Amino acid sequence: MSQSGSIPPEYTNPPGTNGIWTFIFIDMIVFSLIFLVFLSEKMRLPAIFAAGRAHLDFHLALANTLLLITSSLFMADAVGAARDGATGRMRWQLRACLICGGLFCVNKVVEYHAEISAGFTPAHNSFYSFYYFITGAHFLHVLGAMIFIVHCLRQSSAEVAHEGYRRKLENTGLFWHFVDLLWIFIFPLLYLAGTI
Amino acid sequence: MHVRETRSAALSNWLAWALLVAFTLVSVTLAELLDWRDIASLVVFAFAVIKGQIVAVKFMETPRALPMWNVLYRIWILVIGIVLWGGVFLAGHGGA
Repeated sequence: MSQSGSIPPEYTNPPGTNGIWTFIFIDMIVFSLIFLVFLSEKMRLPAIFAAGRAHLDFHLALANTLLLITSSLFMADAVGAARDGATGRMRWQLRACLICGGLFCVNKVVEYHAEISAGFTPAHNSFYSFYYFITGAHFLHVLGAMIFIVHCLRQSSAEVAHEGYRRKLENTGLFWHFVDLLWIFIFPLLYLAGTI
Repeated sequence: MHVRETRSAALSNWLAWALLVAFTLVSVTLAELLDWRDIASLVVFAFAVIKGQIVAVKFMETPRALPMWNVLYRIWILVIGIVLWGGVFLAGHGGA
């Protein structure tokens, strides 16, 4: 009996490659450790963390949450379009995803600028060190994913029919959704957890 | 048949998006309005776990990945939600 014969049919063509699933899981563990250190500091210095959170722009963070959720919808539809061979639909979905990602970055820069202008630099206190580190690491993930989306867009006209291209887009999509997944937890942890 | 499947997947994605937006807005409203902060924090992080599961299942398609990844990713979402809520709860009660 061949090996493929023992694998249930729904797993014979999984989304993305094993490498990206492994990479994302390792990234999940790294962020878990960062969150744990953040929590231990928050328990040690609850007043400083509550005061720090009160200065953050909650509305920009909410807008960013909605932008990332919407971008994930566009990415999921883009992957679906690529599987259908609908190049035109896939390209505009990827562009819409990039626009949402771009707006997220603009919001983030505005937020950083406002905080730094008010004197809340990473050296201000422990809360701000973590705030810049966690959101900065997430921001770099967004930028990295956007570079891959641009790469997929550039190659779309020539390669969309190839299995390799579909895999590449699925990998990019998985990473983009992971960025969304991280923000789903960062948002309440940094921006809501002082009010509740 | 193929077109019907594609439309069904697109509708399913839109439904997932609508749920994610709804959970986000309800979380924010609860965090702003609810006086009973322990319940509010529990609900907010429970909603974050539900949102994470929606992203994993509908957008990342973890049920179509190898079973190991499906289990690991979905357990991570559940565990990180519980740990974050626990940490916030303890910090709100003067630390561990």
